[in-house]
Amino acid sequence: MKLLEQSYITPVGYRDFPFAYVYDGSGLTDATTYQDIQIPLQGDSDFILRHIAGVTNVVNTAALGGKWNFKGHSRQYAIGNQSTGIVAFPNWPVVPEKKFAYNESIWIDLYNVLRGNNACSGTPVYFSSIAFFGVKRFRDAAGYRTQQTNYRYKEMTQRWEFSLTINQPAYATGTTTPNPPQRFIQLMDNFDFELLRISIGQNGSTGTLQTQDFSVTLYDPNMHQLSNNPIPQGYFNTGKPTPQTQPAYQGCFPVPSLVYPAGSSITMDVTSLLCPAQVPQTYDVSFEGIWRLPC
Amino acid sequence: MSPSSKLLLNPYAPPAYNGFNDASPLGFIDVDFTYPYDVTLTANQFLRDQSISTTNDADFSWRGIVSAFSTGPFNIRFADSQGYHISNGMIVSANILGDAASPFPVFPEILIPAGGRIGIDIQDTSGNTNVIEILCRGVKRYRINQGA
Repeated sequence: MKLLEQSYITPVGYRDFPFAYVYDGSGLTDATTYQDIQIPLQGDSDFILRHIAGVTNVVNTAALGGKWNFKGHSRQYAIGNQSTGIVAFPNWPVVPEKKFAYNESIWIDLYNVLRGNNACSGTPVYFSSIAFFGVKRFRDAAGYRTQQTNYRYKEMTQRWEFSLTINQPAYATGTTTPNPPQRFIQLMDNFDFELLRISIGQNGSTGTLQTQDFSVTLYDPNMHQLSNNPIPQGYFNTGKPTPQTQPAYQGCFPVPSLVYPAGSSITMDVTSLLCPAQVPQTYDVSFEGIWRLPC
Repeated sequence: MSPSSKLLLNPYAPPAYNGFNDASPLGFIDVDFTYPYDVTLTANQFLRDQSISTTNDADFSWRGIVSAFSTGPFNIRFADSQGYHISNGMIVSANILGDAASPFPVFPEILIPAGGRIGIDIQDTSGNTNVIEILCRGVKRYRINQGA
C-alpha cells in the first residue's frame, strides 16, 4: 500500500506549477440560480484541482438558500445533491485531487446568487470570485521553466516586506469604468528566493487584512500569470485575524513553492476594490520563504 | 544541498494543497465525492433509521463527517451499510463541529458498497424546527476495467 504521508510525486515526465482558475461572478444576477456555468481551462496544460475558495462570496447564506455544486472532468457531480446543491464553505478541499485535461472545463452550479461586494455610496464593488487552486501540469518536453538553482546552496528563512499603497478606487472617478490594475515589483537582488506564502496586513492594524480591498494577479519570474483572473487577497492571505483565529479562507499560495532567481522580481498586478472615500490605503505585504545562500 | 535534489513541496501548506499520492487499492481508482443528508426536523422530532443511499456506480469509502448547517442543536448517530452503529449512543451536534476543510474524521475509513446506505438516527434538541445538512465526505472507489 502506498503511504498517504509520502511526499507528493509529480508523474515522471511532467512538472507542476502553481495556478488558480478564478471565476469572476460579478456579472451574475443576485437571487438567481445558475446551473452548468462553464469555466474553460486555458488549453496549455492539464490542471490538477486541489481546493476551491470563495463560494461564500457568490451565493447567499445557508439560511437563505445559498448553495453550490461542481463537476469533475467527466462532468460528473462531485457532490451528491445534483439538483439542489449543498451549503457553501469559504474553503473546499478536493481530496484526492481532480485532474482536468488541457481542453476540458470546470463546471459549477450556483443556487441563489448573492455577490459579495464593498458597498460604496454609488455602484458596489464586487469581489464575488471563486478561485480553483491547484497546479498546471506541463510535460518536461514542453521546455517550461525549471525551479532549480544552479549553484550549491544552504537554506535560510527569509521574508521580503513590501509596502503597498493603493491610491486609486475601483472605478475611475465619476464612472463605473474599472481602473486598470497597478503593477508592483519586489526585486530579488541577492540570492535565489523560494516563495512559500504571502501575508497581508493593513498598515497600523493589529490583525491581518480581512476585507477584500484588492485582488492580485501574481507572476512567476518568467512573467507567466499564476491565475487567469485576479484573486481577491483574502483567498491566499495566510495572516491571522487574531492569534486564536485561523484565516477565513485557509489559503496558501503558491503551492508548490516557486523559485525566483536572483535578479528576477516578484511581480503582482493589484486591482483596487476600494471605494473612492477609502483611498489612499497602505498595506504591509510579507513574502515569506527561503533564501538559497551559496555555500 | 545539490541543485537538483529538491522536491518543491510547500511546507507551509496543508498536505491537501501539496497533493496526496494516489492511494487507491490495486485495480481501483478513488475519486473525491460527498454524499449530503438534508432534513428538516420539527421540534424535538426523533427520526430513526434514516439513510443516505449510495449510488450503484461505485463503492464509497467514507472518511469524514461535516455538520454543514443547522438552525439549532441536534443529536445524531450513524451506522454503516450493515446497520452497525459506529457510536454506542447519540452524538451531540456540538461534538461533530467542523467545516469542509476540517471534517470530523471517520478513521479508519468505512467502505459502503455500491447501492448501499449510511444509516442515520437524528433528533432535534432545539425545541424548534431545525433545518440540517450533514455531509459525508470520502471517495468513490471505481473498479478499473482490467480487460479480458
